[in-house]
Amino acid sequence: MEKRLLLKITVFATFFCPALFSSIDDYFPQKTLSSPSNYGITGLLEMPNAKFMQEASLRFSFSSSFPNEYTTITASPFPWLEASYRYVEIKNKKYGPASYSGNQSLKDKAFDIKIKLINEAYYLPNIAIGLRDLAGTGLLSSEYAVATKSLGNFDITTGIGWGILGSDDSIRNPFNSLHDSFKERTGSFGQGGDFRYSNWFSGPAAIFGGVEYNIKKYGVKLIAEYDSSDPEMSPSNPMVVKSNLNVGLNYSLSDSFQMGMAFERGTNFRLSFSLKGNFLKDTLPKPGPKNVVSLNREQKNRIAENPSIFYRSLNRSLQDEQIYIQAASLEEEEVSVAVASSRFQSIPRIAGRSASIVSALTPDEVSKINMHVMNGDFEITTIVLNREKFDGAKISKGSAAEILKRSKLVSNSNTRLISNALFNPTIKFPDYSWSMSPGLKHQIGGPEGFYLGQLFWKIDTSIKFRRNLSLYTTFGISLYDTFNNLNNPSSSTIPHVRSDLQDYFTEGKNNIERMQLEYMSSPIKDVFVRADFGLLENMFGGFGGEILYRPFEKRYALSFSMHKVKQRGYKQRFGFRDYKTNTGHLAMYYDFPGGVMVRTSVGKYLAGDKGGSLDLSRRFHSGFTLGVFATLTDLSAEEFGEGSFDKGFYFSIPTSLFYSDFTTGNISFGLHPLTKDGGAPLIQHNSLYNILGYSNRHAILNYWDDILD
Amino acid sequence: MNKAPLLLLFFLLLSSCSVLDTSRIAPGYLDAIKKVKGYIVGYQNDSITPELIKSIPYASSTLKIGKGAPGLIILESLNEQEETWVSSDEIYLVFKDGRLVKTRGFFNNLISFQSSHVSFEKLIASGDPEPFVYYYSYDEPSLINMKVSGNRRFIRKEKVQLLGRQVELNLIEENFSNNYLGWKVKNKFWVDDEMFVWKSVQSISPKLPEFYIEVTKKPAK
Repeated sequence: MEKRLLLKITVFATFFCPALFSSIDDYFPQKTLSSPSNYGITGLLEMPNAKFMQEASLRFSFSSSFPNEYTTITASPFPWLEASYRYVEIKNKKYGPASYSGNQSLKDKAFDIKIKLINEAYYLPNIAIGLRDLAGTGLLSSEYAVATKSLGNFDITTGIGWGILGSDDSIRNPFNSLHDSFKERTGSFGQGGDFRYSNWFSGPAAIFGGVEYNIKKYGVKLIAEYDSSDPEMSPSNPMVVKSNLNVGLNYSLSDSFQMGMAFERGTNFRLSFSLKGNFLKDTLPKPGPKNVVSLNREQKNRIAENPSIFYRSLNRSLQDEQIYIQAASLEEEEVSVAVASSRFQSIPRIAGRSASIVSALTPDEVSKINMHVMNGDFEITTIVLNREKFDGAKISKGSAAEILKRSKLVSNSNTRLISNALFNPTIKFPDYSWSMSPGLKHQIGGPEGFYLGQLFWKIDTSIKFRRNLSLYTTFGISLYDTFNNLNNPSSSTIPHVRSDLQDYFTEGKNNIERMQLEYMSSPIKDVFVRADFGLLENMFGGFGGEILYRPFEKRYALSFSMHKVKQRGYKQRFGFRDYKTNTGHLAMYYDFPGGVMVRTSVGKYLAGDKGGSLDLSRRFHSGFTLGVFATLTDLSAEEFGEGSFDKGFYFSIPTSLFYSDFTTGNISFGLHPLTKDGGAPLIQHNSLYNILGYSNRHAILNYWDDILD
Repeated sequence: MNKAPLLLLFFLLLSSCSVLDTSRIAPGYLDAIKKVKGYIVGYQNDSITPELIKSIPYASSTLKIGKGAPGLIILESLNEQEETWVSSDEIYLVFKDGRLVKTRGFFNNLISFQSSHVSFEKLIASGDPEPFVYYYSYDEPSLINMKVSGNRRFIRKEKVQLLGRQVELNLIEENFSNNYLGWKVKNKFWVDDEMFVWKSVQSISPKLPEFYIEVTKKPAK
């Protein structure tokens, strides 16, 4: 009986599991699956739908009409979540008096999220709920529940909206019967920045819907929707509405680039475009390991008699892979090698490529290869490999999992191989190095102009006086800027630790961004310390330190940092202003399965306010990271000013995703909607967690398959 | 006005590439500049010279994929039916009578190609267009027997430059499409009088750009 049931399940799964079906639709030149609404999050035109981007996607969208123009960045950290940050330009309103903001039109900021509740199935539609402008001034605040079902080339959407989306007031709010508070919605917008939970899903409600027709062959999507927002009734900015029917067309030039046009409300045309990237996987093939020719018995015997030949050959061969030997010890039955590389992000890849070379050069009697992987002067981990298993797997007589079974991963951070190795390459101290690259600084959404920026040439230098002790300097030389237009001095009532940004921009165009003497060490296993002194960041200089406890076997880490700092002069040379303070934080990090990382910290911030920060991020296997953060301190909303509390988001894309070789750099972007003095921490360039955080056992095992790559 | 940045820019622009130490510029930027330049003006294949080809003891061809840089592929193995060629980054290409019938190493690979026998000789002799049907199968994403149909014909004799030497070859064109996908492409083959394909431009998948192949050293049969 059980067997028959199992057979039925297998047959059913085989025929009905969508993953097993391949489709010619995958070969259309462009995919028309999801496109952004005018507001950036996946949707129809003005209305949302229940479709989502693939996880690990990032989309920039621009949508222009009169009077509203939207510029949005949308991210999908999970397949069931989309979040977007948006600037709205309201063209028929002024930013402020002409003396303050010239002729600039009003800009509003908004943050939206959409959460998938139910996945589409044979009978079921995708069902999602979403919130628009959930922490802004509330000009466009809405909530909705929406369902979308695909039927052939059609996608049918229907939903219920509240707030702006409910202004059609076409049905009774279904939540009214739950509590009286759902009957009313306050219209007070305030200065924004806080979550108005009490307004959510309350007030008038309306039904909206739409149809999308996909002409896949041409990458074209035709859209028609019933618009339940009624801007004619808007108290702040009424618009003429001749029809509730909006129609549009979306054209995908590629999987990444879409253009659209629409006719809305019977009065206005809209043009839009969007640019999307998916960073779930590294899709560009990378070079495999260099061919390693194993030495013959006679050559290996010579090495056994004279290990210096081994060290020299190893040094040369590892350099071909841009892996640099830090120390090595060849003994009778085992060999230990410490290596560092700025080419590979994956620790198992560094260890695997190095071990292949080590194995090709060492006498046959050696049965154990100990790979000590370093980052800077820290030894991150030791991977003890069984040579026989490793060599077998390299010629397809085994797998990465079998190597792991016979390997050990340990941390010997306080007894580094470089301290007691038989061979250490000669390094002449002080060791100088430098590099340069272009850089950008900007202020977005200010009253003087939507975008003010500076293109500068950045020169980074480092002088290593001895192991663990280095001086890092960054100079910035301005090439072009529009900062002279800045004309909005800070009116903050608390110490101006960040809000004098405009003075730093205008007076410090050619600056010393940083000049920091730093000492790092690991005195006890899994405990790392860092002490620093100098111009620590562009606005503060001083001295202090940090201690990190990162138990190798665990998913958590703890850190404590403390600095005595003084505010730097606006020119950002060697001068200081009068303001000084002590700042420090106790932080806890936890690395959840699935790449979800949480950082919480409590302490005293630069303006003297005390409180805590929360940072939530997701790191994908490709290294792509998306995160949000918020800080609440003992400052009142009035003291903090517009925004009520500090918050923002960031993302980081590994540069190797764009190139056909391995690199370790990242393209990072972070945004605070407003630069405020409250909740501002000291910027720590080489924070210990950044260097060592994602290097515990769990992180290494995530990339273990790279040991053979 | 502070003239320091302008001066620096001036000196950087004046400096020739040999003076400016490009190894100090973050590699990502240099790679990006090279890619953009290659995309706009195309890549030069100065490094593939007749001397280099002569020095390699194997049959060789140049391969350019889309707007990418041209590279060299070497004949790895040969049997009655098929030739297997390999690039330095371990891309494998299998040819049958000059036509690409299998690939390995791309993110989307051709795993099978089915067609009736193609006789270039007959095509050249008749001069008439000939209808055909091909079936392509791919791995990622998996797709079996995608049907394309079209016609092929002999166009003309053409003088072609092949690594510094000029030869007269027969140009054969294939126009084919898959109507459902809207995939419409043209393949070109330049063959000599012994029906050996010296040069070709081939499309093998809607997900891959065109392949430009030129034989630089013919395999010994």
